[in-house]
Amino acid sequence: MKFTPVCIPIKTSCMLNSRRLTLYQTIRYFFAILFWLPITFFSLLLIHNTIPYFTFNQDFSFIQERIVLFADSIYKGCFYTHIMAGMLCISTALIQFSSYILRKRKAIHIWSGRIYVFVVLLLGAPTGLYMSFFAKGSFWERALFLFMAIYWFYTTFKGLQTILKKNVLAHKIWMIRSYSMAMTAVTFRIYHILFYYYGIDHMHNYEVSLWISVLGNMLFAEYFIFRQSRSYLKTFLT
Amino acid sequence: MKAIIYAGVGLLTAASVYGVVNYYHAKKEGTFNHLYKDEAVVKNTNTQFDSAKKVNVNSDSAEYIPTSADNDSQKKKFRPRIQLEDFSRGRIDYVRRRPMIVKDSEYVKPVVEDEEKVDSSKAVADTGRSN
Repeated sequence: MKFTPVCIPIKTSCMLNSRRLTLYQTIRYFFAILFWLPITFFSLLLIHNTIPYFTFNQDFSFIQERIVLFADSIYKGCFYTHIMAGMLCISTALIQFSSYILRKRKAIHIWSGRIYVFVVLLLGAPTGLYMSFFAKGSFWERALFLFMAIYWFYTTFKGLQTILKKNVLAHKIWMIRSYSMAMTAVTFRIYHILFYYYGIDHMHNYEVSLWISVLGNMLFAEYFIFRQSRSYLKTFLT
Repeated sequence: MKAIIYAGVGLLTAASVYGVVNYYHAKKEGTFNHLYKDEAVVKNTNTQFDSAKKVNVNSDSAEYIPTSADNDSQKKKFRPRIQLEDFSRGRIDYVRRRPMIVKDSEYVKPVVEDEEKVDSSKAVADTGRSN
């Protein structure tokens, strides 16, 4: 019987490749957990800290600062609608990026997406836009809040429009942008606490946290989209 | 789905128009002058004070919220402790964790309408009324 030495190197190479693939997969999972774990924690913390507002007690520092505005029933209504919408958005969006749910439980993705879109377009963005005129900070902070509301509305609207046209790739891109805007609520609070810890005075802390959270999230979303579509973009070069 | 889009666009337009109108109305009335001011506030639970500045540490009758005018030495000594409740858009109220200690020499008996109600052992601080 003749021995074929060719089999051995092929087998070794296959094993190496499979090991390398497993390693890459493990690293990918590790970074995914590293990315999603704090997002999930802080999102749930935000929801947890928002629930007490529905006691309609005014003894919160956020309300105390705006007690004059809360005398107006429209502003008050907008505020409670906005925080309710925010809670729903953040909780529904958490499961939207799960590839497992997308593959195995598509109905969950569709229905939670519908809730997200409905809540953003009808509740979150319009109330946020109204409240932005009375936001804390200078003219530029108000303008930033205004921009946030419009951008959030527009990206969500485009996300809905693209999926209705069955353009999944564009839908993903627009929804990443929309989610990045929703997540400014979370990232703002993280920066706010960090700057507070380092002793930055309240007003500067508020303004810097706001700008960093909005611009940072937008840039991160664009970088994420670019990274995801890099292989797709490469096809244009060949 | 189209109905949602149209309703959303309508609501957004209404919110922007109403927002602009209310913004100019509030500006005209001077509502913004009373907003987001760094004023010393006492969150009273039992006793009413108008403009308390110092609060006895042992007292649980009032909570002092600091102003930007607080001296720097107090700020330097203060080490912030992060709590989960601070994860909010509101001002992180570090005052409740930073009570100002009143020296005996600085202590001024508060002027309260009903003297009998004031427990001298728990008497609090300079209320500002004495000035």
